[in-house]
Amino acid sequence: MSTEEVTGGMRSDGLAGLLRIGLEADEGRAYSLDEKREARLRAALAGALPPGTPAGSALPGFGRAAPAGSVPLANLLLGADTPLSTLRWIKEYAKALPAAAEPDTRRAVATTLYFAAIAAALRFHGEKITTHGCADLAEHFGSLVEKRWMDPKLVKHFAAAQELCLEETL
Amino acid sequence: MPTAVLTGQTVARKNHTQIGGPDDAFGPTQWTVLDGAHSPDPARRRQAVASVAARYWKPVYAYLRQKGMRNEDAKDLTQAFFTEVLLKRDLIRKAAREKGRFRTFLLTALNRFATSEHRKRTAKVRRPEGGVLPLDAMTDGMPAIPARCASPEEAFAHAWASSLMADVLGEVEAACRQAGQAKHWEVFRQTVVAPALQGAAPPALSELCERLEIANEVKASNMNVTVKRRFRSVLRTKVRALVGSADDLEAEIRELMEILSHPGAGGEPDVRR
Repeated sequence: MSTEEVTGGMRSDGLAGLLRIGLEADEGRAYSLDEKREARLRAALAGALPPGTPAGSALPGFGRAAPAGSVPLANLLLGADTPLSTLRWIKEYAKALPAAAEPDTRRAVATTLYFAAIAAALRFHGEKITTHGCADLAEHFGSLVEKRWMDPKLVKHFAAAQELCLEETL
Repeated sequence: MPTAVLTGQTVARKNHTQIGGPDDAFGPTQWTVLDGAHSPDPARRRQAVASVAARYWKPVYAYLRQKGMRNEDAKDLTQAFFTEVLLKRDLIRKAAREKGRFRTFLLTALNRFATSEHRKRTAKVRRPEGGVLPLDAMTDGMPAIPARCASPEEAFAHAWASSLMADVLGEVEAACRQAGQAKHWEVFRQTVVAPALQGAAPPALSELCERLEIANEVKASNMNVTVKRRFRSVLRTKVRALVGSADDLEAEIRELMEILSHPGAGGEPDVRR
């Protein structure tokens, strides 16, 4: 096996130049609402369940009790082995998220996390953890798939869950 | 509006009840994946290590090759490093306690491992049965080692940064397409990415506008700003997951830049067999 370039021939100085962008100050143009939502959702998915909240101190089913701050939310929402109890907890937590500051953005992120937890329960446990009917859920999932600011991994997640719901309603 | 607000850093800094976490609190990092290596379940332990290995084998391999090892020896030792070093409970527990930058941890462990192996002067194939990496079956090729990488550490950094950048660019492109901004991505790719990574001369904005049917150069320039923002956000999010604290984030980027800008680390990749 050769040591052929696999990253498109990335030059070291070029890599350094691109990394520099990570340190640059923002250009100053006003952020659109979609940009804000996208950025906040990205941060939320990379983050973790906050410490000190109910059931946040240990997540059952992870071998040893994992502290709340140890698993990225994206992993929990998209992982097939996330316990149903954790998904229920995330759903309720998202429902209760405050939206006082930046209500449009925070509400959008909270809604996304809420339905992502429901979608995960459907996809990986075959359980509906909400009183929403299947037709209703299919519509919500479909709407989230169309959001331009939606994380591409969640787009696939919602699309798969939507398909399950549509099958149920046929 | 400062970028910090968008990523929840400023607003959530003192509020630990927000999902997303303040940037300066401990958040999930690569260490958390290694947490699985503590599992009482052997399958879960192997899976955790395999997950880390799949992600970081290239820098390890590049380092060992730059040390002068032949391809097959480097592959065997790469396999052995992840299987024997990362699976050792004591090392992981120690690393988890220290936190800090994951790259530094991996490189330090690799340095020690390579030195130890050299001392043992073992000729025996170190590939463990059912090793954690199917290196022979890897379809995405082995990392190139730039001809002017002066040291194994530079080769490690180059492979590390290359993998990171490939990840970031992939995610940025996907997000652009999801946002209906395929043209935005194309502008950014042709004016920023390709010139940086391949030494291609950037096209004139006027020419780009004509080719991509963009109204004018101001619009094209704004498209670039949009994608650059997204790029910055994705890059910082991914680097943040590899360091122990928000303070380390910028230091990590600067250090990688420093290593990659080193005169010995530039130039065209060579092909070694």
